[in-house]
Amino acid sequence: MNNTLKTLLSLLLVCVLIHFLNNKVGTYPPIAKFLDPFHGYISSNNNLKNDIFKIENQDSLEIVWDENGIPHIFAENQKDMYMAQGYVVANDRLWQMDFISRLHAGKLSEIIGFSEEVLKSDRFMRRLGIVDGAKASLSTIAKCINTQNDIFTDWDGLSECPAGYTKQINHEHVNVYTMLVAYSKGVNYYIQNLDWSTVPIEYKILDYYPEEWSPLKTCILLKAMSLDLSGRNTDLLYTSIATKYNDMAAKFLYPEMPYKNDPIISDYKSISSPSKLPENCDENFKYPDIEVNFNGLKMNNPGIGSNNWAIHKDFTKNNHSILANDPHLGLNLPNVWYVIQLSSPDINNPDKYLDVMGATIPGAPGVLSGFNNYIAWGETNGEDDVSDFYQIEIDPNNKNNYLYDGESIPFIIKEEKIIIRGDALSFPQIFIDTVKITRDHGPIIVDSSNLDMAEFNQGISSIYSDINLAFKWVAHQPTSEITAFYKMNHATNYSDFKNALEYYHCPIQNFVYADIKGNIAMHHNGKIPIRCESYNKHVLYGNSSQFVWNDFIPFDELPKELNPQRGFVSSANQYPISNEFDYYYLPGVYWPAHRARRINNMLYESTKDRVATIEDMKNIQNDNFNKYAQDILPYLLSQELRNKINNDSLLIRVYKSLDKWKDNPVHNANMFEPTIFDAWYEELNINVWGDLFIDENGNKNSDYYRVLPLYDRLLKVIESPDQYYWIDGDNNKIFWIDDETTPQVETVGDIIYISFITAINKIKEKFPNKDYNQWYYSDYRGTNIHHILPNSSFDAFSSLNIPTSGSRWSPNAMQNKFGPSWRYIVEMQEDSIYAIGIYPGGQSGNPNSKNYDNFIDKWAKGDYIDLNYTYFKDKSQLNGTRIILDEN
Amino acid sequence: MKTKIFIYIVITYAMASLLPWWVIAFSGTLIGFNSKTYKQAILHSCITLTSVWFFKLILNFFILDYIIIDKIKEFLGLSSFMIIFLTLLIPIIIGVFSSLFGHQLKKVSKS
Repeated sequence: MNNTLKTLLSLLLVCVLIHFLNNKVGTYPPIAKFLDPFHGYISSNNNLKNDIFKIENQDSLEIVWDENGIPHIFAENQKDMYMAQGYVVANDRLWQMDFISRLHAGKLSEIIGFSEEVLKSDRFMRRLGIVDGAKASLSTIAKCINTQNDIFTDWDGLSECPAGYTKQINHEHVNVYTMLVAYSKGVNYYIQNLDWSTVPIEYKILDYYPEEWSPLKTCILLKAMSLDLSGRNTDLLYTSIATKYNDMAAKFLYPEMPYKNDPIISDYKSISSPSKLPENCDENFKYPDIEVNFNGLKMNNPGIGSNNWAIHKDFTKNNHSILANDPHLGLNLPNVWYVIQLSSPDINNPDKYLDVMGATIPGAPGVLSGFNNYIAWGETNGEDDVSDFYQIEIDPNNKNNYLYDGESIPFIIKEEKIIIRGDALSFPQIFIDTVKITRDHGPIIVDSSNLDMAEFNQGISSIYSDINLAFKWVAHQPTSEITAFYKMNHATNYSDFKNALEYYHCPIQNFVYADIKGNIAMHHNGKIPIRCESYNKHVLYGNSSQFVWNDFIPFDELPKELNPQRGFVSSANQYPISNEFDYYYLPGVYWPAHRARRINNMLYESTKDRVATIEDMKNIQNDNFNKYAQDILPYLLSQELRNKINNDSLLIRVYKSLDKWKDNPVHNANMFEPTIFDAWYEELNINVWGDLFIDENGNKNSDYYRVLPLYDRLLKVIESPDQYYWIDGDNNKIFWIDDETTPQVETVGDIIYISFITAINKIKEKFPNKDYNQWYYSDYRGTNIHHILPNSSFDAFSSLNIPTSGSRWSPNAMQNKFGPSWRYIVEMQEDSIYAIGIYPGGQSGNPNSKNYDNFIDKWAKGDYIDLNYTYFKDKSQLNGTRIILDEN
Repeated sequence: MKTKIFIYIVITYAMASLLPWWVIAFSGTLIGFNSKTYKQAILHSCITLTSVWFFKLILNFFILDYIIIDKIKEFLGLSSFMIIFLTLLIPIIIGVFSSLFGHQLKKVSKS
């Protein structure tokens, strides 16, 4: 071999080596790039550069990070303030906001590469139309438009409009647009000053660079929140149950009005009567026969729920209104929330300053749950159904058309191009997905020509391979939540707040309100479609305009109350109003009111002598009392059970312990009784409902939580087993309590006994060497806060086995992967507002930072941090790391 | 010879601080080009590149005391020793092949 050839070969070898060590292979990071001690994982630090803001900063700006890493921004104008917010949030949470927006835009394959699950997720998100909904929302604020009034739909809200188009900003939303652009610029200043050394570590693991931020991405994040809180839909489950059993069965299992409700609005006389009820409702509606594979259904998540309340000043010790809010969501690291203070001159009254503080989601400017120097607000999920499935009938003569009101209507066909990145061993690919969109029913998300997608997303069984389902969702519409939050941030009284709520559309939320004058209010708010009671829980026919909703409950007629007589307002995801008067039909799956009843009891207790304090509010937020256990245990701990277990000393001891515990059933981490109750409850669910959800292989459904009726149903059938049944086609009464998969007829006593024995055996298996009084709840349930990336390797960046108290039935609604994602309490007093808060995580998204997970221990113990709310005039008194940027 | 290697180390450290990781391949090539034999090329290159990465690693592990190191150990499922070993394997491999290329290049250029 001659020297030249040897040289070329050795060069080639070096290049190949560098290629493999510099690019990721499958899920493995690029090994040399990642381990490089100069620029690899070790150098992903927070990287504040003080001079960044000077690029556009006109006035002086001061940022103080307090001891908890919470930034307090003091600006002389709002543009600078929002730009600074974008910058500091990106500094702490850039990867999180980038990843979540990519996930919901269906662009994960671009960064992760080929994976069947990731590709399906991308296809689903694109079919769902989140980006189209976000674009529609952005267009209400600003758009690129040409002389023929055509809108350029690919505009991100930040870049220049293409040739022939001009930017048109809605005059009503000019300030909102300024805020969105300033925030995006702040994020982008941060991104532009990053290099490979300083990008967050997740970029290094996944091997990609951040993209520029834009107002469109902010709108995508808000739509993602809508998906999280209102994307759950019971239509398929309900119709399936109705098809498999009958409507009577479905109505019992999934009612709108839970058992023992305690409505949000205490005084229904404060609600306006309906002005526009639906007409021409077909009372004899026969739903389409659709049966799904329950295993695949995306259904209610039992962990999601929230609490909020406010107490009028006349009922508090200090004569100031108090507001508390604790939204419960899936728990992740980095946490969904980010706490910030924003202070600048009030845009409506430049002589005064507006000091807003609270929690926002990284990627959204302003504050979403918080307070300013005049008002405070917070949210819980409304649980209303704001989406519907429609069965679309394809025109047999033209596959690109569908039948609607006797006509053949063409689908809008959209080609979605999904880029799948390559790695060291493969080239990038492009996957083209064809999405069909109907005119009035939304996109087809279950498409018979793409049944693999259908099975992934909605559990449609392959035997129904000719089914096409369109999904109509309020979030597809040009909603304006960002404007609503902007206005809330700037509200100075109840009237301003109410005006802000008119702009809030989706998901439906219970907004609690308190102000420095002492007023309190609750609004069940958003765009709730007006529907017919007879058919709007089912999948509907897409071939008739009769079933399409276009009208919404007018804003003034939505459930609300101001300064009710009882002295407080509260909500905990329950049905909003009493059923004692005629109102609009409100479909949805509202949570049973056990949490709400407990909260209201405690609020009555703390307000009865008009001496409520912040300490009382802390106690309620951290209350572990299980009112559900109090309701159901007297029936479970029956004499029949006592007799059946009489020969087993362990079971007798357990029984006696529970019998004692039932008088004060609290779910404390160091107790063993909640362990037994939880395990028993699980087994009861399997034994009572399991026979309903048999899959195609004849097995009881293995993933019950996707489809189970809510827990008030179990209480009902245990309380009165002989009263609740459904009637089959042969006119037989089928009692819910009986297990239809066995030849014998089980009584409630049998089910209670079998469930009890199985539960105890399962706990014994879990704790083989422990006495029953060492079956600690924290060891049994605990709480795991996983990193956002659902890969077990990322457990290294997770916080696992946290010893927590609380339960799904307690005000402290804690579970294994869900729980209070943000707790805050504020006392509203003119010129002296005091606020505390906590969330399970830390301000920084950087696992190398001490602020990555520093709040978790306090959160688990029920402690809070002082939010260090500081008025603009007092900014020099705030201690912390300070950056002062002078005027240009 | 010691002075020469010291100069290589200083230059490589400076380059590695400013440029992407693969810049060490240029150092290896340069060292190979300046070496009299294949053996010397490989030896000098490996000593230089490994020393540079080793020095920086030690600095990171024992002086800067990053929280992230424990998390990366768990993420990769490796002990500190294995992480150090795997990390140092990279400059060794690159050192060997880039210096061979550098020395070969020298031969071609002379002929």
